[in-house]
Amino acid sequence: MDGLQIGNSRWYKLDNAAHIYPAMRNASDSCVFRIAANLDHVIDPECLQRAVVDLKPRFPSMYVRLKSGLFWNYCEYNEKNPVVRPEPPYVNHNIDSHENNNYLFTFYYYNRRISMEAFHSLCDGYGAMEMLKAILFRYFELKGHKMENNGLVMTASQTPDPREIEDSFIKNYTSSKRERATVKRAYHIRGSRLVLREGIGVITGRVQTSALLSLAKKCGATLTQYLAAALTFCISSTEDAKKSDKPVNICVPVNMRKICDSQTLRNFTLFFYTSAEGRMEFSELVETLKTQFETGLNKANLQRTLNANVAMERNLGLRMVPLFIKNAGIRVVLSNLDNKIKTATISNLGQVALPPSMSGMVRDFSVHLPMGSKSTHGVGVISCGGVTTISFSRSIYETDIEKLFFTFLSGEGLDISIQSNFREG
Amino acid sequence: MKKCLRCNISVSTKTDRCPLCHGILSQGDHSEAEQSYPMFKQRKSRKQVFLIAGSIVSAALVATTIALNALTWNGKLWSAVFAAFVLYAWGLGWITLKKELSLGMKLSAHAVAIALLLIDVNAFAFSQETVSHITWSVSYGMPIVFVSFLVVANILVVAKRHMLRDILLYQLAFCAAAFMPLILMISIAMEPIQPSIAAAFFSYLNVMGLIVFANRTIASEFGRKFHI
Repeated sequence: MDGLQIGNSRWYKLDNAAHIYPAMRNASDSCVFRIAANLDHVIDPECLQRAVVDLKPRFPSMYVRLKSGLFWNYCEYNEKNPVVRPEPPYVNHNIDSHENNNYLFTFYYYNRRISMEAFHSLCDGYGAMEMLKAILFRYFELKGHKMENNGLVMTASQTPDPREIEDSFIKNYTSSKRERATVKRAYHIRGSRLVLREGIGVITGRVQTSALLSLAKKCGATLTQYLAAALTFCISSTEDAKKSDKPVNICVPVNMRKICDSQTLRNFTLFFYTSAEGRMEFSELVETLKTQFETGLNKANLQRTLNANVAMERNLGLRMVPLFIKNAGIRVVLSNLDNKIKTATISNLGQVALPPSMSGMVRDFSVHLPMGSKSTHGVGVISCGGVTTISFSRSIYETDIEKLFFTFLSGEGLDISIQSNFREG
Repeated sequence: MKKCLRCNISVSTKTDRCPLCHGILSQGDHSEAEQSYPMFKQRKSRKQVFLIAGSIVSAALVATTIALNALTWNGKLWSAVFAAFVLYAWGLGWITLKKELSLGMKLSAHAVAIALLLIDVNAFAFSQETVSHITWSVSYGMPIVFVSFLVVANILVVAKRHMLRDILLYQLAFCAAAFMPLILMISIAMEPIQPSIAAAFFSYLNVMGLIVFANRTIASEFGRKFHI
């Protein structure tokens, strides 16, 4: 791995995607996401603490602290142990690294739920999910359950594979064609801003995966395509959006591991945008988005985007610029460009496969996306054990989009149950 | 599980309101009803109030001192010394309380601030007006400050070996700073030069010690901090 040394002095350079988050992090943009598992029993904090410590040698890229160099940030081995905490009322709150023994992740427990909140420089949803699964597996072992792995979970007894800690952006970079897709400025959902330093608003809906999949299949779409279309449809049906001449752009993260045959636990995600202008019928919208998904998920297009992103990082002139200037540049560029082309984000982590010894004890998972100062809505989707959870994270008080979305799905015949952290008042 | 008849959605909550439409929920089965998330509490932040009040009081004090200095002018700008002390107190508070800053960074900031403060006091309040306005602060003050902080850094590293990596570069920075008085004394041709020579020698010994005992750590730390 680039920069990695073995022993207590190990460290590594941040990957291409990880560079932006330390620059973007501030009081109103934590760059922290949450993955949570609901179990069938109330959490035992002592077992959870032991499980988190036991997994330290298994995930060398996770048990690190973020440090600043003159030109780039980097991660180095953290000698302290992480500490699990009771869940605070603030979802995806800024991680106080000082109180957290300098770790970039925190494990929380609340009733039957174990939540992992991670700073995005550390990993993406896939990496966090693999770690959470491993922690759950170890937790059940410590609780005295007889566990069988079936190769679906990373365990404490395994040796870390170097491929899990590689920088897959660099590995898959080719100096051939590089190009980023141009995206029109998007419509932005308006509302009264929550005090973001006090956390975000969360509404999580649970539906039967089979029922949701059959709805998507009826439209000839995948689950992500169907939900992206439903989200676009609901946003564009608000009075404010109807008045706007800007398109509704949904940002869709793409897990590049399947496309590039990577096993990294660090960031390896690229993004594409779906765009829908004007009012369309739902079926028409699904067809439009299907076409855009095909273009967005095209390997050649993604390779060009990857090349463009990595080429910028590899530019010698840029590399020689001191870190504080780079950070200022990233803040200016992202606040003026990136946030303006995005209405909302939808991220589907897919079906979580658990060994049979675990699946009976895990009710479901949920994903809460990070909320920036500009974007208002993020939707995290994950399926496990026949249940799909659709979690809305929002940075405004109003819940109009959530209401439209869930009543739309309910109108399509789905049986939905929701939970909220009641930040709407 | 309660039900919102307006949204046609089940809601798992202990409250009576639908989070989507804020309508009253129908009372359903209470067996699964548990608080989904910890109760949200409004944070009471007094930090902002203290900061604003402190800034106003400090600005008022500095303004009053400047006015007094002007009205009772005796050829010395002693109000600059007071202003420097107020600034240092603010800096001291901010740097010390800032959790994100490392210990090495805090020590360095304090060392530089104290050195500047001494120069300020020397220049504006106790100038002997010989060769330079800053004689004693450079010849005695700066060497004592930088050597003291270098000693503190050494004690920390000896007492807590694991802190070596965190403090190492700051130790080297203190060593470089401890050479500064000597360079200044030579360039301005000030006397006495002995404390500056002693500080420079102590700094040299420190650098040598680090090279002998921590050469691999130095190389590794340089690799991390300056990788491009």
